[in-house]
Amino acid sequence: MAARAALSTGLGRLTDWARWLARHPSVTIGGALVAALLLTSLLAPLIAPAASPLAQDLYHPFAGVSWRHPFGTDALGRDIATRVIYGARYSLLEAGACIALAASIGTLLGLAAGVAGGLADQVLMWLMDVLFAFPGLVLALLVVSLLGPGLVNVLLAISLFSIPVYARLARNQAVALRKADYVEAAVAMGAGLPRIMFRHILPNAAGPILVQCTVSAGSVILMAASLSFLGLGVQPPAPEWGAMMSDGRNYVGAYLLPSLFPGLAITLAVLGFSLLGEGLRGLGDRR
Amino acid sequence: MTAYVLRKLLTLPAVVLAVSVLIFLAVRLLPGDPARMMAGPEASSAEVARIHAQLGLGQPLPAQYLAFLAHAASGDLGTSIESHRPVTEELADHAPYTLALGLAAYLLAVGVGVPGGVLAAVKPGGAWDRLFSGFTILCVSLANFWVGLMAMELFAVRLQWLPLMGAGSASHLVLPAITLALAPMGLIGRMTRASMIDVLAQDYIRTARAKGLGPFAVNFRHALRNALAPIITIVGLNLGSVVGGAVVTESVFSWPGLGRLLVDAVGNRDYPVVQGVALAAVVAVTLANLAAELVIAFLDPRLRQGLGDGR
Repeated sequence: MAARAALSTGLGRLTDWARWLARHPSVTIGGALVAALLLTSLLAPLIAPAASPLAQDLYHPFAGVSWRHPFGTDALGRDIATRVIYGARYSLLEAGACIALAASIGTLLGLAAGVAGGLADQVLMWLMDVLFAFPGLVLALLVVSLLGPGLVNVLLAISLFSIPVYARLARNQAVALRKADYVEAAVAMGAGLPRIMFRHILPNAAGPILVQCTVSAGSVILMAASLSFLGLGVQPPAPEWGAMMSDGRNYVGAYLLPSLFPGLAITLAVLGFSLLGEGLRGLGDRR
Repeated sequence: MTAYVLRKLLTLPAVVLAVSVLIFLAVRLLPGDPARMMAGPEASSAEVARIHAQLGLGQPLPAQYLAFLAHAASGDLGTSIESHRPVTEELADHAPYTLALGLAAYLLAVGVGVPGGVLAAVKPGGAWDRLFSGFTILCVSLANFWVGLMAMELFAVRLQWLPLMGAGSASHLVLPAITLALAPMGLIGRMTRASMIDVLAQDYIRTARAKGLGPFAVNFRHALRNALAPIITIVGLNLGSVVGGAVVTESVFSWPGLGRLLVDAVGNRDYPVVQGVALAAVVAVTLANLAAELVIAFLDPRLRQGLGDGR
């Protein structure tokens, strides 16, 4: 009897969940795509058809779609499906590293500016405006031209131009919360600047910042792939999606598969983060 | 209105100056000799010395910056290390191609995004709204270099309707322009829809409907006019990402614009050219944002007559 009751509440909860997901298709589809990306990069060695994304088979270049090579092979006979699967790791690494760096620096600057106010606030925000005046990719190219191509430099470049978005967001939140009664109370009790920033304001400003992280994950992946496509980011033979297409473009017109599948993977990954971010933002607005 | 315009115009040199400091410092603050870095590993010491002298690297930083600024103000952005031509000449050669591409893409993005967003907002949740919302989120998620390559494969190689790459005729412009237009189309479409939904919920729209105006007059004449400000803002703000998109799109289609000039210059470490293109891009983006603000002010009669808050 008790078991049946437990089962029916369990089922009830499950149907509640299913209903909620059906009402929020952006969160559902976006979340599923992002989960698929995470699982793919975690389980890459288990699900990839070939043993290594770098293994060449010079006797079978440009093979078509088959059971052995679900996405065909590239110019060096490497299995495209395996390379696309391992490429998920690069895109997650790029998104994770850039967002961790940009969001933490930007949030720190923005909170400090918002809480401190006055001249510090104006100078900092003006600096952010200057950084913001650069078109993202042009700033990234400028940085890469100085530091040289490569994954780390590209990640630094992308992080740099992502900082202003977080700084503005955190600053506006901080300015709004700074006047809240509970913050005034903390100030009156003698709390210092760091304590106000991190204990009192950050927890209440975190929601929109996290949503922004999800939304910008997609654009970071796009930007990093663009730079690798231009030959300035991750270098071949690494199985990064942009770098794979940089190679695949040489055979467009003759062999489509080497550029078709990496691009499809980029689109699905970016779409996942865009949908999830949009959905989460919608949930935040309704509250 | 005049005071407002003047105040806005004054912000332009401030941003451009700050950016010029940034661009100037970027190359000088690197460890090592910038002249050696620019000349490349195989350069002779005479070549390094020549670049050293050309950049005035022996002088203190503020003096170097003033010299850089004075040259820039008189239209001298230095000489390309690769082609040995003045950077301003290189910019002037490539700019018309980027302007043509950007203009075509923008017309397409606004031409599809605005009417599409209006129609989606008229019946939120309807069939067209779902279709259009799906299309716009796809637009902002697509990698433009992938779209470009796939379009080349389909329309240039398989169907042979359009030329594969390069420039020369109007038909060369079609594929790059569509490729470049998708991302701003998505953003403009989404912004139009959101802005229109806000406006359509207002009382005066109900009044307009109640007095018997047809849907076209209500949606396009009454509502769209008042929904325009955020749309124009996003059109202006978007120029930055269009410039970034143009870099990639031009590279895919071998379109001889500023984007390809920039990518080639980065590859060759042709620093004066990189500097020049970056400066041009920042000026263009700042001007576009300024133009957007001025258009919004002009469209708003309160601001136009100097009665507004001045923002």
